[in-house]
Amino acid sequence: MAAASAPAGRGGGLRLLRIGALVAAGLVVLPLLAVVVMAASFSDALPHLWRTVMPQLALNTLLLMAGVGISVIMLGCGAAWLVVRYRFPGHGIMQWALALPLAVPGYLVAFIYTDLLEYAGPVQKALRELFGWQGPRDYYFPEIRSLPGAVMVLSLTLYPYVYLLARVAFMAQSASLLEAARLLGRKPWPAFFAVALPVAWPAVAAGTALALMEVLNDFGVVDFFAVPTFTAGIFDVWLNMNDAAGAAQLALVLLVFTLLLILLERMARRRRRFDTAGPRAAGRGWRLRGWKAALALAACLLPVVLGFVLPVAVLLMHAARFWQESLQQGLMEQLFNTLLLASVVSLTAALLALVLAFAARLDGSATVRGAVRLAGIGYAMPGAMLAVGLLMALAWADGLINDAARAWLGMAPGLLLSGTMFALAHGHVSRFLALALGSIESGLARISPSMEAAARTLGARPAEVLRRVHLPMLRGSVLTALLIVFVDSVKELPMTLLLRPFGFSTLATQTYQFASDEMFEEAALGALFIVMAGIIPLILLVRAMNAPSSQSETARF
Amino acid sequence: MNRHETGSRTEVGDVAADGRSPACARLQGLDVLQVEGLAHRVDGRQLFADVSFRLGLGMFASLLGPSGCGKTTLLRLIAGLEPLQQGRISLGGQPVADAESGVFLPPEARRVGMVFQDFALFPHLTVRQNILFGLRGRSGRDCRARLAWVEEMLERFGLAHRADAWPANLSGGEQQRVALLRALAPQPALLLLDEPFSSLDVARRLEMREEMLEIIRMSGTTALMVTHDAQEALFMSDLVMIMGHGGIVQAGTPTEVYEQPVDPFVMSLFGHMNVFAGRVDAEGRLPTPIGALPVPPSLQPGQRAEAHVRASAFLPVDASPEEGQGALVETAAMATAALAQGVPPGVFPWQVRGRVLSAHFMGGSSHLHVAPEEAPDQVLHMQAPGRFLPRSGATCSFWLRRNGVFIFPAGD
Repeated sequence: MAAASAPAGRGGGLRLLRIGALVAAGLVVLPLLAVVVMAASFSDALPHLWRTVMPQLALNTLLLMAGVGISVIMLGCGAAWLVVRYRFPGHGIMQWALALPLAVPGYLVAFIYTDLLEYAGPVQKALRELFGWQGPRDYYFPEIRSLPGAVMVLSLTLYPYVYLLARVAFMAQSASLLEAARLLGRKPWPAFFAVALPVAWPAVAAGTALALMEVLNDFGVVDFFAVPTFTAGIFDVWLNMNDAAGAAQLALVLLVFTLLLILLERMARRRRRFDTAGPRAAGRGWRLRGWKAALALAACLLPVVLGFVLPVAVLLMHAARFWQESLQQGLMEQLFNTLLLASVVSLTAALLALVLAFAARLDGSATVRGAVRLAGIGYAMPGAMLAVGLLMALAWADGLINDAARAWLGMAPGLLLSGTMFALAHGHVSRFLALALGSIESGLARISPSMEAAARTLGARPAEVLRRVHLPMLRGSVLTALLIVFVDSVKELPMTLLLRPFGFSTLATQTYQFASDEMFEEAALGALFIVMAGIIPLILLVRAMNAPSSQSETARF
Repeated sequence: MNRHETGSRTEVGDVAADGRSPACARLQGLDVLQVEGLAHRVDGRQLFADVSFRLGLGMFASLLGPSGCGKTTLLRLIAGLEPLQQGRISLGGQPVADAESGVFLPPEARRVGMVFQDFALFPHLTVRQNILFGLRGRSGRDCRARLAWVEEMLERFGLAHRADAWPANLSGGEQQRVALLRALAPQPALLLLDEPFSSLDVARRLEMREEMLEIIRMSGTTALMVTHDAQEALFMSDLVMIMGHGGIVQAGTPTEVYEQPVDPFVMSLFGHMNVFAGRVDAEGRLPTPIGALPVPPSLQPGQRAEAHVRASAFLPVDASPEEGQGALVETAAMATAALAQGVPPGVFPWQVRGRVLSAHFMGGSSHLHVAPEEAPDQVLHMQAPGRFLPRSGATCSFWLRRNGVFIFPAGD
């Protein structure tokens, strides 16, 4: 964004904007800061924690990241390469269908596959009946609730991050790059590995980093599959052991992991950004026929079926049978809670994002730009870590308020911030502000400084320019920001579990609760609502994919 | 080929065979590339049909034609980058693609090098890595020889200090040299060049033409270039093949295609023209505002015909009009010759008189719009050598060069 366009407001307005931006950034950074401060203040590291839990958590986390990382690169790049480079029956549908698994939160897929594949599930039952096996000793069946199972489930739901970014990168590559490699003696697949993949690598690395951030953030899958990672460890230490110091230290380790991940991604991208669009970017694909076409279609269908079609079909089946039970379990109340929370969060995030984006555009000082960048890091931070930090900060603030109230008023108001809707909404906003910011910044970038200048020379005053030029042009971006924050808030699980007020349930927490109690079927209707919400941004995405200029689609996904 | 049936399509192979072109004849019998009966359709539209030609060893040939005539597609068919629909392509006597028998060698198996319009340098590899890309899998003496060749070429063409640079940091000319060296490094049997100069600015083009030609000549590689720039084709080629009307319209040496164009389309590729239509009169002449032009014997009296006259066919009689002495020596000499002998050599024995409407200076030549006295409502385009800038409204006289006038039959 242009650093300093003409100041459009009077001094007072601008100062207000600047303060607003700093406050917004402060809200996001507060939980992070709290984690660091708390972890540092318990200066004697808890030796038992380090000795007993930490190695296991670290190992699980690393293995999970490695497994998911490799799988999403293979699935995402492979699928993207197939749809960009080849033409086969079903190609058009596969282009967008491959993004669908993103709509199903990992924890839902985990519940569904456990349901299907466990000993009492339909698959094993059918096998037993088919082959006449009597008990578990008669045959081998892989245990889904395991580390490999978690890798599979998370990869199936997260590969679209890599797919979407790699697809754009492959499409931007000039067709002659690959043709040159062919003419210099490489067969199609060696040419892919020698040229197409390395050139697309920055995008692949970015997509993989996004997927791995989700892995660090995930609680539902690892908890349900009993593969304790750092996030699961925080829950355990915090909720079961009531150990705030331990939770803070785990959160700090998680923060370090996240920062390392961001650093790795930056390093992968630091080598030149390739601008390879030639006169015939992407070009036409190579037509496949016969068994090769069938193989390509099957390769694309597999992740879509496993990651979307099958889970949704199971949910539909359960929902059709158990919808009455769902309603009796307070589905309407959970729905209302979810919508309320998501509305508050998305409106707040969009508003703060507008303040930040305008402050950066109009002020452009190093302080404001730094604030904007800080405000954007929340999305990379695991929800459990943010939640721990936030709870500590808010509890400390509550303590101050109560002390002050007791001293002056002679009575304590109790917990005003922590353990209330405020804490929950604050947590969500910290994490999802980056999404709104990205959307609004890209919208604002489309308004060139010369448009402002044109409006001014045509006689519009600054406020008028804002009203007649900026706001109409930003309407789409603000709507997008509202929508994607809303949806992510609906899907969010770990932070909601930690921050929700007592007795407050959303669709996500209720689904998790029921699945833990082995009554997943009765929460299927609510889960279906979550998936439906998740499909909405994908529709936006597909529309952006088909639009002539596909700039916006890289913004978030 | 619809209206003008004079130029029966020339078989390019014939050009080489009947020895009209010395460069082709010399290398006759050593065909590096043989293209037979190629036809191609795109979305149901016939792009070209019945395209056949041969290229001898060491020859530099070009395909010249307007954009959309299928010349790039033809190049891609030869490279194996497009599926062949009809016909046969052989390299070094071996069929690499044959629509009838279904033979189709993939591009990596054809030993064909290509320089792309956008150069297509691999952005993640350095200059040297780019050039060595095609040498992977080689070993032993052959490989060492090629590596030495690469280093020598880098040195020779001023790229040695850029060998470890990224392609993105090179100038357009440097990128082009790298692209060419990369294509030549594996010693391809045939080098294809797809509009290689179109992404360079005009000033760099002339320089690069000579340098590219030098590199290719030194390597002794047979080359086929696609271009829409007639000057480029004339400058670089032994053989110019002109594509249009869904096929190859004419093929020959640069002087042949320029001096003996088979139809108006070929002529139009080489610059501004004046066209006059009419009927051949009883004496076998075509009456036009610039005089009655003698027609070839193949045209009968009463037949409709068109005269195509190059802008450069007009020579000012008075080289120094009101402007003062401005014209180049060439025209001055012409004028002196005219005074001495009455009529300079190579022109028709009459003068074209006209009123100058405007005159534009173009550096090496001057461009004039002139209304001929015979038909004051028409405009003649003239290109006079050097500086020749009479005032608007002045009346001037011009000789008409015989070799700039072509008469073709016209449909009724």
